Amino acid sequence: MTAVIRTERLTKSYGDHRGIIDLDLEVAEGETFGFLGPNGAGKTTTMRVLLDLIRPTSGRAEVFGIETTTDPVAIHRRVGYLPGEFDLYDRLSGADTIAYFGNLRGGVDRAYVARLVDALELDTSRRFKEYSKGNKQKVGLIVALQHRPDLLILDEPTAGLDPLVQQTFFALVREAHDEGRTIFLSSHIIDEVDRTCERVAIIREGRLVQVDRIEAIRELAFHHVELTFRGPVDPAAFAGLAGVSDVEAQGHLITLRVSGPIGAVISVAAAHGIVDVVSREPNLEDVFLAQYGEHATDAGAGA
Amino acid sequence: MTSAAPTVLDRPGPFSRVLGIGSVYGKTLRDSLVAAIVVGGVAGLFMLGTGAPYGAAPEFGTTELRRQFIAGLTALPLALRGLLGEPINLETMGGFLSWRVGNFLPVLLGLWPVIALSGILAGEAAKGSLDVLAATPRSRRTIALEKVGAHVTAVALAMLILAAVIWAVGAFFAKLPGDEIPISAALGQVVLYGVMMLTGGALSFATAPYVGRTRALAFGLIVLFASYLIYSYASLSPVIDALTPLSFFSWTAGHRPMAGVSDWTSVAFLAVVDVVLLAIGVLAFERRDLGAVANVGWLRLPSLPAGIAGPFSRQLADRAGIAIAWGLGIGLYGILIVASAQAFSDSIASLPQIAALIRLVYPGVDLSQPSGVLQLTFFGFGSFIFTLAAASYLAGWASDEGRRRLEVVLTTPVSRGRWALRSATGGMAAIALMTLVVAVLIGLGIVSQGGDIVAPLAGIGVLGLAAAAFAGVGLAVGGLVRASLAAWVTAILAIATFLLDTLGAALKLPDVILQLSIYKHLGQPMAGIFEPAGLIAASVMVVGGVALCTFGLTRRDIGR
Repeated sequence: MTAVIRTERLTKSYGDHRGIIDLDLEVAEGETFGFLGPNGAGKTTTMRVLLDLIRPTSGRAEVFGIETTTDPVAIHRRVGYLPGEFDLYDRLSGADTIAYFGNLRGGVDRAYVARLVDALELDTSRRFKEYSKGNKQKVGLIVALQHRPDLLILDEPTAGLDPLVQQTFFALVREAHDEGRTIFLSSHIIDEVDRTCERVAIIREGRLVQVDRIEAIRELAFHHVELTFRGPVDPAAFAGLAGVSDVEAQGHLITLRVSGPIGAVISVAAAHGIVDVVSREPNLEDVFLAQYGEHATDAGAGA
Repeated sequence: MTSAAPTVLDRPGPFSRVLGIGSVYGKTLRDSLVAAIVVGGVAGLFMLGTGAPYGAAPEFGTTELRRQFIAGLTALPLALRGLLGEPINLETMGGFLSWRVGNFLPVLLGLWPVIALSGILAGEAAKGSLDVLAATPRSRRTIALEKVGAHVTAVALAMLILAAVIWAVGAFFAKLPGDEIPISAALGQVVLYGVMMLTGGALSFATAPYVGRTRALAFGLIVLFASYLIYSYASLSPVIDALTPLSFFSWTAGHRPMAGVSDWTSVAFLAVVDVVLLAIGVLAFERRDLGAVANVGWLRLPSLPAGIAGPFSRQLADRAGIAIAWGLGIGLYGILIVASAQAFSDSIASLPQIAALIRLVYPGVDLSQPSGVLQLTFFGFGSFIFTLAAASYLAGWASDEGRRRLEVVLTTPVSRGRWALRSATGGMAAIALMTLVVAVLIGLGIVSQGGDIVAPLAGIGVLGLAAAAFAGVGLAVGGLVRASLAAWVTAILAIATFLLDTLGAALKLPDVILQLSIYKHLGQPMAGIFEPAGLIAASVMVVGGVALCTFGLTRRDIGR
């Protein structure tokens, strides 16, 4: 498949501050690609380089086979972008804001815009400054989607959206994917990437540490489990189970970490008179640290 | 939630492209339209307020009467005459307007391009909307050119309004032959104003991609005011005179079409300078990282420590840098006046009629002292600038609420009342800090020249008090209604009072209106003459303003 995004040893630094370092990345046409990393890892920097909003310190980046610094306008023509943090024009209404960017692009399908507005349940008559954070995000999403771009670059797109609107957003992304469009989506929420992406890259401290199918990343995930019993239970009963680690006992409570299926743990717990079970999904940082340790920043990155 | 159908057009219409949301140019021009009309209107008001009495008053009814009046004015010392323009054909309406109004008008009007062009790209980059805009299929060069083009169009529109007013003043108030101002002369004059207005703004635009909005704004203001003052005071000192070639006011001093003389070469040269500066800004925007500035952290004014003890220290610390900057600027202007005080006194002493006239208007003012000269030449403009500075601090004060920092602050155990009282007092302290800097600089100037120092310093204190009084009104409105109104109210009061003081008498406004100016009730403070009633009233405005602000903020919704 043709690569829509390709970077080679892409580096961006801000004076003494790290941005991204030697990033090699390839996103194929029609792919929904997740870009995962903790805050400050370099996700936004990468996206801004791809859009030629900032220039690489070294290395190169191509979008649609065009080097980003050579002809950014040709790239922008086929891209929809939602920044992670943005503030548009206070005095324009939502409708005017959408119309303004539609005008700057030209050829926007009015019916499709109306559908997006309806789907996201946006009141376009209000001024931008009167919108809540979630509604501002909706305007940004419509601006990014309205021209049916070949490539969507979305920086933390569901931030501020309520769960129902998030569902709508995921449906729109799926629709874009079904139409063969490419989606490059950053997030620090595993679940968000899990639901939408086929492949995922993990970035940390400016370096790419892993690029893999979402299934492989999913295998990294684990659960923190808290088991409450009627009385004290010997932790050794759990320590030997497959995928179980970090078992600790504290009176009637046992805490442990489970990778993979949790069925065996539940069975053993049931046999010991379990009263309550609490299972927490870790955040990306926890997963990452568990897998790679504090200082891991290098791995077999590549498409 | 209801959803209104958006009005997206596949192809924006021509009108929308020129003055609407059909293009970057159209939107920028639409956003600038009100400012253009206000700027053109205010400039026209100056022309009307000066030209109407000149044409209509019987004191100027014959050529001979005009010559007598002009002889008196041109006999004024250089310190005063320099602030006016080139004395060319003053017996005609056009010549008189060009001389009396035309010199300082580009300074006042030039504030607009400096503020607008320093932030037209850098400000939008700071808030993040430029990322979205730059991700559309418009090259950065196109975006920058459209934005600059729209601002230049807005300036041109303002100047067209001014040209129409100038022509109308000549047409309706002409009394003697030659008073009519041909539309070609009016247009020729406003082309000069437009080009001069843009110079400071173009410099700000050129430097903003490198140093950020605030520093670019400062560069533009420094060049604008320094050029004006160097040109105006060049004849007072060989040192200032040596700087004249650097002043763009002096480059174009020979172009006064309203007075019947033109020097288009100088205007064209300045226009080329403007274009080059704007081109530098466009290229810099095209080539540099969006929103990134050079490592110029060292390029800043001395400031106070971070100020994290509470709302008072936070407010003062945030405003301290700009307060010191205003203080240095106003103080240096004051030093210039003090340095020329002796020359001024000598000139007055050699003109008994003028001296008698000044004694009549300013009884008790000793013109042999720097204090008297300061009262005569510094107090009026200084009071205006002091209050504008106060308005700028209130804009910063309001940003706490506008940018929603206040909501975070008020989730701590700081009550609304406590925050309002202490932050408003912090804003007042910034005015005090600026006043202190001005006092120190002018005080040093007086010490080096000799003369009474107590009265001028007390007078500077009164200027600070008056500015704080206006700020008190702004704070009251900000607290009771909306924080963002505070700076606007203060600035409008400053401009209205300045217009009242400078044009009110010429427009023959009723005395009851003229007395509305607070400066009519403060005495001659720079010369040591004080009016207690005015000082008490100003103090009440300060305390009452802060109290009303506190009261209002405890009653209304936050974030309005």
